[in-house]
Amino acid sequence: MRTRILLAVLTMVTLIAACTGEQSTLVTMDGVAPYYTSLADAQAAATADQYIVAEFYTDW
Amino acid sequence: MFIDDKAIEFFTNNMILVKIHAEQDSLVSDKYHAKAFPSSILLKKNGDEVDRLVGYAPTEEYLQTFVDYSNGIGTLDDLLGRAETEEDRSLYLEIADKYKYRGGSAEAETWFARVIEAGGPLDSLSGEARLSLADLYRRAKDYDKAMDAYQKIADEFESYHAMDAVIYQAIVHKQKGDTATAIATFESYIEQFPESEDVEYAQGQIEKLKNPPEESDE
Repeated sequence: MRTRILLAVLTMVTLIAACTGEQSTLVTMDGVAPYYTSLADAQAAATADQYIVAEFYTDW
Repeated sequence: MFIDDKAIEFFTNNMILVKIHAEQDSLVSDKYHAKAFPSSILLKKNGDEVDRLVGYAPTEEYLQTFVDYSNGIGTLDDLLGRAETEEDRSLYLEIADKYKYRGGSAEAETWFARVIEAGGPLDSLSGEARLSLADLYRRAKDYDKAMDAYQKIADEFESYHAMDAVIYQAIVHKQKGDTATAIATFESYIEQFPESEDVEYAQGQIEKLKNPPEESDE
């Protein structure tokens, strides 16, 4: 019973996240260091004492 | 992109990496005064800047710089503390550069001036400081002041400082939209310094200025 409730809650959280359109900007690829493309997401993911390296770039 | 195993491990288990396109996310890049690229800024979770690294560096050196910064080594505060007891013009130059890239123009000018005052006006470090000062004016779009500073360097130095000053004069003309003078200055640069490693860059600039890409109607 507890497992069913947990699964239901997880499903609801997933559905809510999908409905609000909020997606993490975390990019993960094999052989490449993981990175975010949004500072807000990086800040949200960081633990209290974890540092963030923000690399600013342009196309030119 | 970091494909080095050490970098992958570092940004998986130690610090968090975020890549920000400065033009597409101008709010964030303006907030941190990211004007030189690439610029990598070490931030606390709350967004406060610890310090930054401008330009490229080998992966190991890059990662070590941020580990050092996180331990308070090599940061602006660290260097300012050292400058209280050390008379070191290279240190002053480093401090000035840090202020420059953070947008602290007044402080940067003060420290560049200290570099020049503490040594000979025409020695190598003074040349570096004077080029950086001119660059400061150029980045602030104070083109007349930048041009004047570059001209004085070109007149007074014979070393690579003069070489840099001339090519930057061409860049300033380009930034001002004075295409004809920019082309002439790049051509003059190639003629004066045919052995320079920037000749190819100057040739590329001339080509682009003479044949600008056509603007799309869309």
